[in-house]
Parts: sequence; C-alpha cells; structure tokens
Amino acid sequence: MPSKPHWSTQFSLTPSDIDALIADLLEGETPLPADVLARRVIELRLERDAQALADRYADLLAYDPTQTYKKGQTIAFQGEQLATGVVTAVESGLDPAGFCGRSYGKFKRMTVDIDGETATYAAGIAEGVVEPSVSDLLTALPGAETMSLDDIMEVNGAKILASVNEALQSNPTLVRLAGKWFVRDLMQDVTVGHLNLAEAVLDIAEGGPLTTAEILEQIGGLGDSPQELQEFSLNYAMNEDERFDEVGPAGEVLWYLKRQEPAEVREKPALLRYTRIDYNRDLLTADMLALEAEVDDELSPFDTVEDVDEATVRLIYAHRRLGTIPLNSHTRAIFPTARRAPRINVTLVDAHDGETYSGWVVNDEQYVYGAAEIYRKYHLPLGAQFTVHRSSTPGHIVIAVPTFRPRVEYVSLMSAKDDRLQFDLQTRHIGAKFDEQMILGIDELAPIEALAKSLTQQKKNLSTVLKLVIPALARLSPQGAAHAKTIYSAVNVLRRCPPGVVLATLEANRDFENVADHYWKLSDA
Amino acid sequence: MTPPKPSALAKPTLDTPYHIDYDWWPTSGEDLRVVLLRQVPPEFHDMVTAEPADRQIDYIDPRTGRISRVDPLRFALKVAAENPAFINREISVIDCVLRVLLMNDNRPITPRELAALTGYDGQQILRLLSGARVYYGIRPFIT
Repeated sequence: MPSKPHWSTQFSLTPSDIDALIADLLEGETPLPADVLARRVIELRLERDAQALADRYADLLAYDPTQTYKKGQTIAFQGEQLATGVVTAVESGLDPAGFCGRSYGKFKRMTVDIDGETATYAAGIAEGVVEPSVSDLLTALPGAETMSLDDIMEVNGAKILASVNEALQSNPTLVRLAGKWFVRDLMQDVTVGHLNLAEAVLDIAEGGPLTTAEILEQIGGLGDSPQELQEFSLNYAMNEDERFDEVGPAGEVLWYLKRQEPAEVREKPALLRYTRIDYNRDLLTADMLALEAEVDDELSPFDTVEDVDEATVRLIYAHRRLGTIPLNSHTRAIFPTARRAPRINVTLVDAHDGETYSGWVVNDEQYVYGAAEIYRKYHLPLGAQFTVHRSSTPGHIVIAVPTFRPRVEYVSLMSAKDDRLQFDLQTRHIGAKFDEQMILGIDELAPIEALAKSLTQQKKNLSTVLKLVIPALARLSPQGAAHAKTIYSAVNVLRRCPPGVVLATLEANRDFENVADHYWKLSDA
Repeated sequence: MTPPKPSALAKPTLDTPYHIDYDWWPTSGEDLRVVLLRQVPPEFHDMVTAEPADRQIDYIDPRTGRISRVDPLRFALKVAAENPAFINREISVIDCVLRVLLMNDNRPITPRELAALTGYDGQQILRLLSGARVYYGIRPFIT
C-alpha cells in the first residue's frame, strides 16, 4: 500500500497559524521575510503535533529497567521497532550472584504481553546493568513526526513559501515590502515632511541610488523605534509615492528619484519599439528556427534559458545607437530580471579595464540601458558580438568585448539617397569580434534616419522594406542574393523587427525566392 | 516479506533458513553439552561444571533489559556472546554458524545472512550445510 503523503505536501495556512505569526511580528517589532515566517509556522505545527502525541500517550510509560512496574500498566519498549505491552505479572528475579562475573542484586522479573506474545523484562534493577534509551520515546510512537523542520523545508519549502505568501497577501492586517512582512498598525508614521526630505536627499545625490538607511540617516530618522522598523516604514511610504523608484537588484532596497532617471529608462526609446506583426510561425523551417535561435532577438518568443553562466549578444542597430543590451532568452538569466520592479539599477563592468558604468535593467521592455560608453570605447560595429556574465559582486554585470588589434575587413556600408537604399563594400579597421553575416557600417546617419522615418510615416509594410533591402544587398554578391541574417540586420536599421517575422514574410511572399541555404533574392517573375 | 516455506525435498539455496534441530542430537552419538561447553571461554569452564546443570538463573540482555531464564551453561554462552570476538575467523566455519544460532536463540537463518554475519563465503556455508553430513544438528528449517 502506498504510504500517505506527508502533510507538508498539501500545506495551507490556517487562521490560527496567521494569528500566531501576527503575534510573533507584534512581539518582535521587526519585519520578517516569508521564509522565516514559513519556518515559524512549521515549527509551531511540529510543536503542536508533538504535544498532541504526548497527550495521547500520556498514560504510556517508557520502559526504564531501573523503575518498578505494576500489573496492568502499559509500557513502551524501544527496540528496532517500538512495542507496547501490558504487565501481566511481576515476580522476583533469579540473580546469578557472581556467576560468570555477573551480579544484578535484587531485581524484578516482569512478564509483559506484547500483542499476544509473552516476554520477560528486568525491572527495579540497579543503574548501569541495562542501557536502553528512553529519551526519545515520542519520536518512535505511532503517529510521531518523521521529518524535522529542515527536512520539511528542504522537500516542500517552495510550496510552503508560496502558500504562506498567498495567505498573508490576503490578510489586510499585514503589509509586505521587499520580501518582508509586518503588521500595518505597528508601522511608523511617515509624514509628507519626511518624504519631502527624502526627495531632497536623493536630489542632492543626483537622483540616487541610496539605501533606505542612508536616507534615514540624512533625514534624522523617524523616531526611537528599531532601525529595521524605521526602514520598513519608510520603504513602504516611498513605495506608495510616485516620486520614488525602488531600483535595487534582488535582495537590496535602493531608491532613485524617478525624475532623475535617464529618459531612455523612464520611457522606451522609439528605436526599440516594435509594431507587432502577426505571422504564421508554422512557415518557419527547422533551419529558420535554428537561425532565429542563434540570433536570439529579445522579441523572439523564447523562454528564459535557466542556469547559464554567460550569454552572447549580437548587436543590431537600435541597441548600438542607444547603448542598450537586449534582454534575450540568455541575457535574461544573467541580469536581475526575476524581481518584479520595473527598473533595476545595476553596475556594468568592463571586463578589460574594470571600469564601471551605471546600468538600468528595464524588465518589462526587455532591454538594459547604459552600455553606450562601452560600445563607443571599442568602436563596435553593427553585428558585433560580446558576452555578459555575473560578477561575484551582487548587482554587478560584466561586459566582455572580445577585442584584438584592428584588422582591415570588408564591410557593407549602408547609405540612403532619395528614398533609395544602397550598400557598398568598403574596407574598415575592425578590432572586435563580429558576426560576418550581420556586420554593417553606416557613415552618414542622417539620410538613413530620414529614410527610416519616411517609411514609418508612409506606413510601409515589412514586404516593402524587404523589397528595398534585398536587391540593394544582392548587388554585393555574385549570386545576386543576400543572407537572411544580413537582411534581418539591415531591416532593423529601418524598423525594429524580430527575425521570425522577417523569415516568415520571406517564406510566405512569392516576391522573394530562396536561392540556397539562407540566401534570398527577389523573384525573377 | 516472509520467504516461501522451503520444501523438505527442495535443493537448499542461499536463502534456505537453517536452525539447530535438537531432535538430531540424541540420535547423533555426540554430546550437546560437550559441544556447547567448547563454545564457552576457558575461564568459565570450571564455574559451569561446578554448578548443578539444572540450576535456573536469569540472564538480562544489557541492551534491551529482556530476561532469559536459563541454565548455567546457556548463561555462560550468553555472557560469552556479548563479546564482539565471539564470532571470529579463528574458529571454523561450522563453529561460527553454531555460535550465530546460539546467540540468536536458534532463530532460523539463511546462508546468505550467515555470510554477512561471519564474513565467510555464503556458497561455502551452503555447501557445508547442505552436504551429506549433518554438523551439530544444523538442518534446513521446515515447518
């Protein structure tokens, strides 16, 4: 018969559990994280169950050979398994009196009925003759808890934690902030004056970021209550105030003055905006899906790849211009994207020289702002590749740009004139790693920007843009065709568009012809 | 799970339980008391032989407190069995098997279990116990 699942597998908080937690919070006057509260609930449950068990077996005596027993008493014996029996007779024992070196003195020989079988045990014997353990009888009784607090948390901790958070969330008495819970009525009063002072403090610090403790110190605190309670109360009040933004990476509360955040962080830049195009993903062949995965555009419908130590980025026009890093399926696992905060302030570290830059993770819009200086420093072209990885310092992300002595490379230079696009192969000195199919150069931005603007204003669809891009690129190859990645890179100079849409449009539209592998040209027909 | 009962005609295996068949001793021509006395440490010999064989003493298991009312020879054997060296590789395989059965109040035991307790090879124990000759009345336990 399968064993019954442990109660903790179907854990849910009862009203009495919540009352006990509120009592703990009131007594401690300190906000506590959900995991501490979850452990406390489990601890209380274990204590309650142990007490119930002790009450249930209150009449049961643990066998202790130095004690004497009477006929009719029930005794628990600990062996490989716990056994309980009723004393049926007590008589004097026969002492070996020194035979084979054994002498027990006076003792009783107690006959016990254990589940219909008779056994005899020593009683009232001197200490040291027998050494059975009687200390942990409760753990061996039927119905006794078999798992410790740590065992339960290890096996079912995630589920319990979710259940605790959910139950506390629906309780109006409690407030949660930065992962900690506290009782609303006990929070310190934070006045408009306090908040105005906090704003001034952040203003002087050029917006931030500052920790709550730093702000509290500069505004002179909230009173005599414990520091942790003051911080929690101020955090709560600032969180409710539109002027402030909580931008700390996971595990750290950092405040920033919203109006001092970079414009590119407060609002998604136009260059990154994508006007959604519906398309049939069934049109994408296995090769196309592989190419889409390789490019790893943040707009592609990929889940975050967990457990990655490093992620590669291929720069497209919008990110290169704005100095942003895409939060694609791999980089999402590197940057602190798990937090629900819309904007998180991080430090970008140049792997080469250790120089640091302020970075902003804009979670909902899938980009990180703040890499422009690094892109400029290494003269990264469109199609350049670099990697990002976590630093051992929390909140620091390392940007590693593979560089070498600049070499002369042939680069497709993109230019525009009179609503026409042109690509010319020219030599340039490149000192960074790049994707050969995605590298593009632009010497004069203004005409390109004018063309992009004109296409947008005329609401030209993607097919029209492709018809503009493909023949211009095809001119550069003897086969008169262009690689899909080059097309994707060039299209993205004119409008933001993920590769899946580009590939599906090429596949669906008879105006385009697949020459070989990923090479496309305009149909002859 | 309880293993299936062995048949009297079935060939013994590593999982066939064995015990001391005390009915065998009167027909064997061997003296059980002499054999048992050989398992007792020499320092107890005089004490055992000096006691009336029918004297009854209570032996208390020092680990559990459980009492066995036994004669002096069995008492001496129980005291001897408390010593971890009671089962050792200096004595013969068959004496080891006998001692294990005496220690466990003749609870039936398989060659596989005996191998684990004595350190001897299970097949070697099985060959010895399933041969034509019966040692110390140790035979398959058939109910």
